[in-house]
Amino acid sequence: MSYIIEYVQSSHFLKIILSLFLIFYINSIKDQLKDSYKWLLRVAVLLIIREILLFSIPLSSLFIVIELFVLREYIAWLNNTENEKKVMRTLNILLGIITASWAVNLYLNILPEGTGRMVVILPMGMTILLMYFLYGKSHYNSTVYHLIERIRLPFSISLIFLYLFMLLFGTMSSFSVFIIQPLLMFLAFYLSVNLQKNNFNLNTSAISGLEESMSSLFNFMFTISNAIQDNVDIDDVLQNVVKSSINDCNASGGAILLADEYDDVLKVRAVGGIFPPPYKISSMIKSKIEAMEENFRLTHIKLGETILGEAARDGKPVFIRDASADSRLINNQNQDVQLINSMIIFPLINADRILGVLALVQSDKRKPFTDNDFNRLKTFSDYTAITLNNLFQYVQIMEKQELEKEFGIAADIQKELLPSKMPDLKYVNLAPFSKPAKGISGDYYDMLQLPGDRLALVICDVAGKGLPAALVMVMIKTIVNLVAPMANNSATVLSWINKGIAGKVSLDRYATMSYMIYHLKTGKLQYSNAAHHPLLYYSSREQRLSTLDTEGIPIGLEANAIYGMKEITLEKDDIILTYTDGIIEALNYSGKQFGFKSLVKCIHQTTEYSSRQIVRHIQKVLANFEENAKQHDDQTLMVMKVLTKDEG
Amino acid sequence: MELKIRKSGEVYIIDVSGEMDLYNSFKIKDLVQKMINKKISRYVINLNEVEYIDSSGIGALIYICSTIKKLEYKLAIANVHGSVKKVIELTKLTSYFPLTGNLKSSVESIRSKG
Repeated sequence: MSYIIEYVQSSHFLKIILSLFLIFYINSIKDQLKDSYKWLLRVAVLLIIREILLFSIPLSSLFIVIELFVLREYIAWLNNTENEKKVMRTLNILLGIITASWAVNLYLNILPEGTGRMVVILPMGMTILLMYFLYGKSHYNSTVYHLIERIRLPFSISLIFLYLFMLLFGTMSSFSVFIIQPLLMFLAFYLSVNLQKNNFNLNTSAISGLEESMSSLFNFMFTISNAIQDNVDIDDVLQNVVKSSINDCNASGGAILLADEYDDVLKVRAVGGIFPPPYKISSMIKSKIEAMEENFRLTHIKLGETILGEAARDGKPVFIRDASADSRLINNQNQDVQLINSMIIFPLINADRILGVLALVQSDKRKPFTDNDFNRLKTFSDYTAITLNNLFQYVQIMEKQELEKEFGIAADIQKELLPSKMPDLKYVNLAPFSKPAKGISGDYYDMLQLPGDRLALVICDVAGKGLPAALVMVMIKTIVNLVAPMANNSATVLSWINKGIAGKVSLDRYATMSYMIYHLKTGKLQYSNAAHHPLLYYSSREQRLSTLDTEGIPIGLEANAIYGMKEITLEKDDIILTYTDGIIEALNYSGKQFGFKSLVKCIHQTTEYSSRQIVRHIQKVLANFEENAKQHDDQTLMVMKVLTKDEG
Repeated sequence: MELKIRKSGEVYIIDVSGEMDLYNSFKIKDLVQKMINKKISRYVINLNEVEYIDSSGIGALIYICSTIKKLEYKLAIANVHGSVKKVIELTKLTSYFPLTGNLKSSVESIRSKG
């Protein structure tokens, strides 16, 4: 009995409960802590180990040694870049030596008793090292700077004071044991609560950041499509791209360089603001901004030379937050017109072909580019690359042939928009079928693999024809690619797309569209429909085919349209099928339509088949029906069959 | 597709017959645009004789409908049935379009409005 009382009194019990609670708490907010989770967990585990050890071996030196390891975890949390790993290595060696000499001393008892208190100098020294790193963080080298800025003062002051008290009263005096030691644990709580709050704010700002980049993307698309409608002057479009990019990322300058088809060089095609050349120029040229601009415009940059040429050769984006430490911008370090403080470069790639690069610079040290700028420019450059490619084809064919061929171009554009390869997946098999009618373009389908074992399925039919309809498809595809990875709700995706399109394209270019999010492991399917043909769903257990539909008018009519969402759970061998007008409205010679019923019959005949076989069967039946009658509309069909799920 | 115009008092009735598809839907758009330019403000589009409508036909109707709405002119669409009705239902535009039943009630509805 007295043993238990002693146990409780020893305050270890209290501290063990505290640390257990800390572990529990850290685990409960695991998702919000993100990368910091493992460090904090290690801190909590160290604290609990310490209490258990101290209970059996009540040594003040043991307390100090473990305290050093706790501090090491805090420092490791701050230093996780490649450069800083060296610091950590040195620190680890140092800690190893300290621990080893502690163990030797424990065994040989070299140091006289009573020096124990002085050992507190060691954790104090580590605290100063920790402070050095805390105060060395800035916007440039840390993504959690906002948090660090807020916590570093209270955190350092409390640590210093707590150790000072320990130095005065001894580490194992009752004052330290009951008051100081638990306070050290509360510091870990303090840190995790703040981290959670910070990441929560970050998440919220990521969402508002997404909305912001959506709206800038819409403006961007709008500017570009206006430039295209006026006249197809590629340099005009490029100039607009540069202008919008500079505005949206608050850059001091921007440029687009396109690769020459015959020489391996980049030529400057559009410049906005002041874009200092990233290569050595004479001081004569430097003395006048106009001369520098002229020089940049006329210089051909070889692929692989300068930072721009490298980006174009490698096809990889470059993001330099702080150029002062970057050897690639060695010519742009001086405080003169050539100064660059921050830089982003994106290669413009379409179908594995590098068309050129889009680059932004910032000369103002106070306004370095942010991750948001980088992501936004990525979307811009993706969209620019697709649009450029379309325009090149358009201009090329316009030069060679008459305007009527426009339809053919649209068909080509459409072909490039569609996914060429279906992902091979363990959980489902997917099969598409798409046959554009000559002279018409309007169908778009996509199958995207998303983070979190999700799949997005898109089918879309844009009314109208020719290049304008194809450009609406490009817009929709760009928005889908931008929002799909983040969105957890199919209805939200449709309303975003609708907001992006409504009012920006002619009304008779509306689109009907279905969007689905499928969770591969659980079989949950979210379905939202903007007035497209309802989804066909075959349940293998009930052996029944049904349709699924939701509220929603076509995309592009009213900016505030509301879209519904329905969720079903698919089981093994269930089939879903979605299609466009062209399938059921296919005509034969006598003018009879293929019809919905024939499609349903096809599915009933093939429920045991794989997706690919189902598609092939429908294709065959359809071809037999049409014989050689002229196809008058695009035909698109997409089938997914569930192979397996992760039960439970 | 054929288009005929007749007048019932203040109201202009456009009779559409045949197929409203990709190849001819622009005709009705152009016609209405010309009439709007002449400041005609009351329209009934009669779809009684339409055999087939595709997405471009719907697009033309949307275009006309929104243009007229913006100008605060009056429009009614009469005699929507059969395959036309099916397509409008499918695209969930039944409440978007001013569908007003038969020709008589359509003309009435336009007249009674201000």
